Amino acid sequence: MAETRQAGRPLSPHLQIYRFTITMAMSIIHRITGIGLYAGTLLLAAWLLSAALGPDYYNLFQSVAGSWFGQLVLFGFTWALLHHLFSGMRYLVWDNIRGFELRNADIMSWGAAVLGFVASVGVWALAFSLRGVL
Amino acid sequence: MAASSSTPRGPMKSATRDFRRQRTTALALIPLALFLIALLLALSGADYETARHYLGNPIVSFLVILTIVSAVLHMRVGMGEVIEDYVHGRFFHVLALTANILFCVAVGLASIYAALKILIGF
Repeated sequence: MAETRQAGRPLSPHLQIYRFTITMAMSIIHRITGIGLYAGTLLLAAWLLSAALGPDYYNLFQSVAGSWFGQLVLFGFTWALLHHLFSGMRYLVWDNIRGFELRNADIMSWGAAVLGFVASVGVWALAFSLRGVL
Repeated sequence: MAASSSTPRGPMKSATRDFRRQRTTALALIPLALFLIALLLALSGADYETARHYLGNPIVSFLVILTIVSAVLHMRVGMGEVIEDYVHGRFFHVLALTANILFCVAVGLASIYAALKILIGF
């Protein structure tokens, strides 16, 4: 590779010359939410362990999770999970060599993005109404 | 650098297995992720007794463990892809892949231990 550059040959185009597409953005967000969920499993494990180890640990976890920062992180986790879920379904469709027409790929991508966000807000609205807050 | 990569590692060695595993766990995680969200919704703000009551149910416990196992297998492959793309150099590559496996095993075992402890009460 280094020899090619030294020979003064043109480099392949860099990111900034590409036009924004929803499929491109969704690809990046899919990976970011995946990495977020990877870290988020620590929270899931901590929650289960706190419930396993006794009321003191559980209440500590609940008080941290119930703080504004904890709630923000948990909303982020919910959104990452639902977004990654709907976004990932597109890949399962594409694996079967379906939905590759540009229009369909765009519709699926926008659909997954909107569904992921709407479902996250819906889940949290339901959670607050169940707790009688909303 | 090209000559040093003659030993199969990463994608050259296990790409098909990882591809299949990523897809099968993805399929399994469609219902399991929805189950997890339903469980977290039911237990949002719940006190200790309620949480123990739900998590002590054998079906819930089984589904939690199934979710964890699927998630851990799925994310091992996913993070492996990220490492293949961004972590270069033999030493850091192997180090990152090893850390990835250790993280997934640790999270998996800790969660399963907790779920079983709640279920059986050892």
